[in-house]
Amino acid sequence: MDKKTVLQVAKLAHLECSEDEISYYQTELSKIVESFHDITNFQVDTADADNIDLTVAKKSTEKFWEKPENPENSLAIEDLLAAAPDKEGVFIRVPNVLDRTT
Amino acid sequence: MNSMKISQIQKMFSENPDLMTGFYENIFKNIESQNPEYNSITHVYPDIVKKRIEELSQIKNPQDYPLYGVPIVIKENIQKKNYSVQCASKILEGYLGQYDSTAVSSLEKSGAIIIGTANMDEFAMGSSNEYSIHGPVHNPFDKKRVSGGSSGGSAVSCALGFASVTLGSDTGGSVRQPAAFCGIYGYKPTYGRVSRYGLVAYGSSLDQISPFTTSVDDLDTVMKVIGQTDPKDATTLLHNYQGKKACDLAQIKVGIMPSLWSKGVDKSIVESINKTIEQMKKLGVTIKNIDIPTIHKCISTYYIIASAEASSNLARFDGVRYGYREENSQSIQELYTKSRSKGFGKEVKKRIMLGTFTLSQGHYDAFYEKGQQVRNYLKKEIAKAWDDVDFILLPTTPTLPFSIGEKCEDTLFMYLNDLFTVPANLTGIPAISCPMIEGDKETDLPIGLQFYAPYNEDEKLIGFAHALEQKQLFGHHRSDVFMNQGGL
Repeated sequence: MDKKTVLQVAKLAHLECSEDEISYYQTELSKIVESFHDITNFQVDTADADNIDLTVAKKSTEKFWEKPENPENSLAIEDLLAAAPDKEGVFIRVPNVLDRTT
Repeated sequence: MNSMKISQIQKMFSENPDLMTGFYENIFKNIESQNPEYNSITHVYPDIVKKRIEELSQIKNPQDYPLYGVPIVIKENIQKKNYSVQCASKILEGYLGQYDSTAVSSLEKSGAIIIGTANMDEFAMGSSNEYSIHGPVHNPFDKKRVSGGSSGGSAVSCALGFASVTLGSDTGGSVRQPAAFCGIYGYKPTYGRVSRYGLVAYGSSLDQISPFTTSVDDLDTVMKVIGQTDPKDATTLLHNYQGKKACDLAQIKVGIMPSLWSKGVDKSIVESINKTIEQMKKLGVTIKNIDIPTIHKCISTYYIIASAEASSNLARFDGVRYGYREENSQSIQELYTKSRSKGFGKEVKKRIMLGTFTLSQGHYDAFYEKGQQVRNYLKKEIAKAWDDVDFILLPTTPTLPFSIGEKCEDTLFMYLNDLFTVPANLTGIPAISCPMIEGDKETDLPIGLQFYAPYNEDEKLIGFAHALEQKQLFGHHRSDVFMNQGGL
């Protein structure tokens, strides 16, 4: 795994990496991904649609909850705000979302 | 001497609720004196417990409450209002539960008292409980060794007798593996049997709130309380857990795969499994060799799927609404990145990176999609096995508890420790880790063996475990030691 890939993945994951971390991920992720070869080399019999179905729970869903959901307010606003790192009135305060130049 | 059972505690307090105050004072005293050595509990709430005792004392018909006055500890990733839900992470430092999870509500409606929260691997990612902001949890039988993980704090709290029942969460073996390392029962119910409402998500298609107990009867009692359908979790099963089914051992067929433990499994664990097979045969159980070829691919499949789901589930921790926020960020993007980079620990970041990689463009087909397809194969093969057998016997872990610090940098060793537990999560089936009464001959460290049952057959599996416990094949390992130290 090259440095460029590690940085691209870190960007997607909203993580920043020091030089040490970049080389750690290069080694560690390569080792783990390499150990996945039994999966990447696995030949799937595509003649059977069940084999390629990605919704594993499909057959089980019949046994799951099917009644209509009733929305309810289970969280009190004051409890929610009490956990916020920064707030103003009933709002959670965050830094600029839009760049000032836009 | 045996540890105190739920039924004894319930009866004692139903007859005399006034005994609760002194009983709980002793529990907190015991935790205060022993916890510094084991580090299994992160927070206790004596003031809340005091109020709860007053509330319970007013109840007119305590005998109708199956958990009346029973002490319970929950893993620090399960919501209970005003209790810590830190998930052993810096990113949730100081975060308190904002509502009650369904499992906790059910326990409390049955008369239970939640006394505190348990240590864990950060966001339930780990097999040794060493990746925690609170520090490692120590094994009750050898403090230099690991407790197992990720629910190590819950396992040790139950084994030491800090509480009768403790709750953990099992995504790839995180309850069964520490149960085996601590000499107690750990039960992963069928996926959807216990509501996940209020459990901090790691791998949503794999996670299941799961109990630790010191006896099968206690397990059965607690499953009757928490094994309920729940409108707040669309993945809960539609019928409730009905209680263990009576089991005639002479009618039971158990599947085994000796090639799975022929190498890479500690000698004493292999000896235990062979001894158990012989004992079961004597009791009339039929033992049959079975084959599940895809089981060898489970570790890769599990780490692809769990990491992918984790990378998505943990996207919510961004420093905006709760938890750790990096100050002086100039933009929202910087706030996300800096808060997450400083808030998450090393193992969590590694799994987020791995999951993000396997879901990214160009890699999705080779990893995530392939992983889901292998999962389908596995489901089909295990479903076929039930044509021939009622249960499948496996070791819970390939090794005995290892030394703290010995393996924490060895990623592949840690991941392989989940070899025998992940198939149950990938296929949603129930699985139980049962403690051998006799531990390892040389060290007396505990050994756990595991049984799988078909999807939705929780009652049958617990009934079978109960029958084997009655025949002395399994039982709380060295319960007398902890009783003498003040445990329940």
